[in-house]
Amino acid sequence: MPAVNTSALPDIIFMLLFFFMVATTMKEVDLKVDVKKPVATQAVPIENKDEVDFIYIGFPIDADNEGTQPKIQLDDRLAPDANAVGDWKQAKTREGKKPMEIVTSLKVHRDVDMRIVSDVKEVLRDINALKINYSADNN
Amino acid sequence: MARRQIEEINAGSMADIAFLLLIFFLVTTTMEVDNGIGRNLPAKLPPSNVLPPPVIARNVLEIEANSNDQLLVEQNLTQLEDLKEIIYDFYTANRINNDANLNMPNYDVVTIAMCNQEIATLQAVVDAAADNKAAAGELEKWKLRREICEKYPTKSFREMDKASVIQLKNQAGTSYGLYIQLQDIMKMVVNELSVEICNELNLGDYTKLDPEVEADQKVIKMVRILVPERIIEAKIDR
Repeated sequence: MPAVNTSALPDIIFMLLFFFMVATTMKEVDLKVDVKKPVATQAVPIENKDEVDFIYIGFPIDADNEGTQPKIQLDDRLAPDANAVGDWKQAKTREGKKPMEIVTSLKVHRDVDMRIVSDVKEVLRDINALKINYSADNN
Repeated sequence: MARRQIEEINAGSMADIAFLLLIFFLVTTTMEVDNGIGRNLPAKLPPSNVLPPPVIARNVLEIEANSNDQLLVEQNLTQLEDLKEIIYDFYTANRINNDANLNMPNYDVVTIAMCNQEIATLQAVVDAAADNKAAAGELEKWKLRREICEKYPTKSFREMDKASVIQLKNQAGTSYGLYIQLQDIMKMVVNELSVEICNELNLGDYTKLDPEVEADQKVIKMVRILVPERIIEAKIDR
């Protein structure tokens, strides 16, 4: 029995590869908190993910060490409290853009209460980072 | 005569290399699309001795959400399903005619003559002090109002009271899910009214406007004058 001709296999795999390279984006961070996003019918896609800073607020996945109270995650670390957001945001510079012009996206678990969210918002107001985006699922 | 054989490069492992790359991209990327509701936080004002103008009750729609995720709208216990209609009414109740009996914001008539007068005054202020951002912003708005006037056959339009505002009050225990639902409903009403206005004035499809494009940006600013999105959030009770 002759062997199956596999000379076109690399082409097929390359096509798959290109599809994934075009259709996906790099993961921003490894989540340390569980974020089940709220639902909002009016949510619109964020156009340019590279020009958005993400703040995650949710319940720690590692509940044994971090407790069950909602925590703020900035980049790869859990922040001790909302005040850490200010320094973090001010360090987030981009070429040709002031840090305060960069949108801050709040990715918050739907069951988190407003106390921690409004603390973060208040800190953002203090440093004049006024453009925010409430992350939500569309359906 | 011997034929010269061109040696071929062995491409057998090409598939393996491509597989490796493919798996790398599968692992490090996500397909998730990020959706969200954009908002601007109010700027912190420098402390001043000037008292804010008194609040007129009819201009404020008060929405309160408590720790049990119950809603109080204008001091009445309200279901979430009814909120959309209440906000819609707040925007449109006096749009055609001011009804003094309704506890809703009034609409003021804006005419071209008024616009011209305001533009002249503000232009003088801006000319005198170029760094006066507030005056420059107002000037731009009045120029847009003049353009809106010209779009109507009557050469005038009715604008919602500039002091009208939706006030959102949360408690520390209000869930974020409910808060987003409130934001969503407010956005929904504004979007629906904006689509209506755009069709009325032949400004194109509101949902297709792109804030990155300058011409569209101007249309969005005009629509924001006709359908203002003024939300203030009270500090949460602790």
